[in-house]
Amino acid sequence: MSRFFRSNSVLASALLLSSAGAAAMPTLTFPFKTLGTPTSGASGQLTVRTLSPTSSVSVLTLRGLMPSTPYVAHYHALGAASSDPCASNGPITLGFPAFRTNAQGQATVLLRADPARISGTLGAYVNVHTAANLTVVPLCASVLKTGKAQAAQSTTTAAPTALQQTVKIGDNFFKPAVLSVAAGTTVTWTHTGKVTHNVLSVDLPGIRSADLHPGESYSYTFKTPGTFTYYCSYHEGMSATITVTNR
Amino acid sequence: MMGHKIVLLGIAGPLLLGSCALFGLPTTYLFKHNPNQADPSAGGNAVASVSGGMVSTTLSLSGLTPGKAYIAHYHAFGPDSSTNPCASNGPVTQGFPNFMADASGNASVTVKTDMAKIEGDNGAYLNVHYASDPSVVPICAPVKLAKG
Repeated sequence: MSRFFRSNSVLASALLLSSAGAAAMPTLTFPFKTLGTPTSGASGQLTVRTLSPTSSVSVLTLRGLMPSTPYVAHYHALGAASSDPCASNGPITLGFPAFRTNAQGQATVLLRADPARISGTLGAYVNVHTAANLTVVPLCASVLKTGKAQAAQSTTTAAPTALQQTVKIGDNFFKPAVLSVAAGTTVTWTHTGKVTHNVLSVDLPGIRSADLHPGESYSYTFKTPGTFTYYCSYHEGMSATITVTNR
Repeated sequence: MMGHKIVLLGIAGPLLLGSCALFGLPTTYLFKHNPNQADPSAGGNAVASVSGGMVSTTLSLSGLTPGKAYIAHYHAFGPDSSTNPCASNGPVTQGFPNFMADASGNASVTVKTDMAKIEGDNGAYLNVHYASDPSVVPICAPVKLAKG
C-alpha cells in the first residue's frame, strides 16, 4: 500500500515539475508544534508548493483546535529574540485568509503568494492565533530550519561596521524586509517602483518621509538599539523591520 | 431606511465602537472631506455589522469622479496624532476590494474581516484613496476618536 502511494507522489511531483518548468520545486511539508498547553491536542501541517517563479500555494491542514472558532494565521519573518524561529518574535510578513474551524475543530486554509514574499527569513515560521485574542498561539510551524545561520546570511546585507544601508521601495514592498544595522547607521529608502509610497513608523515617530515618487529617496539615521517596524500608509501589508544593534 | 441605527451622527458612534464586540447592531460612520481639492462633493458612510467574530463593512459613497478607480482601507491609529485619527497617518490594517465609481459618481463596496484585525486602535479610521495615486485621499471616516 505504501509503495503505491510513494510512486504516486513521485509521479505527481514529476508532473508538477514538467508542467511548471524547471524552476518549480516539490511540495515541502512543515509540521505544526503546540505552544503553551501541550495537552490541547492541536496539530497540523503546512505544505508549500512553488508553482512558478512568481506563484506558490501554502496550505494549512489543522486539527484539534476549538470547534467553530475563528482563527487567523500568518507567515512571520525571523525575529531577533531567538534562533528558534517559533520563539523569535518576528513581524508578520503575510496573512492567510481568516478562517473558522468546523464543528470537529478542523480547518484547511489556502494561501496563494509570490514566493519572494515568504522566501528565506521572510517566511521563517507560521503562527496560528485565536482571532479573539492574538496572544493565544496554539500552533507554530518552523519553516526555517537553522534560524541563526540563515539569519546571519540574509539579514546582514553589509558588515555591521558599515554605516550606510539601502532599502528598496517597490510596489508594494520594502526590500530587504528584515534588516539589521549598527546604531549610528543611516538607512536610505530608494523608490524603485511606480506608485506613490511613504515611510512611516508608530514605533519610531521620527521616521516620517514625505510622499515618495519613483526615483525619490528618504534617509534616517538610527541611534537607539531595538527592533522597529515601519510601513507605507497607502498599501496593505507593506511593512518591514529594522533591528538596531549596539556598535 | 434599512433597519439599522445611525448612532448620534457620528460623534458618539465612534466612542461607542472603540470595542466593537459590545453591540450586535450595525453601526454607521460618516465620511468627512479631508482638507484637499480632490472630489469636492465626495461623501458617504460606512456601515459595520458584527457576526460571530467577523465584521462586515459596507461603504456607500457619492460625489466621486465617474469611472475612476478607488481603493479604501481601515487604518490603525498612526503616530501623527492621538486625537484626530484621520490625520494620524497609521498603517493599513484591512483593505477593501478595489472599486470604481459609476457614471453618477456613486460606489458601494464591502469587506468582511476578523474583528481582531480592526478592533480598538487597529481600526481607527477609514480612508478612500485614488487608486492611481494613493496619496490623494478625498474622504476619511473616523472610527475611534482617541488613541489608547
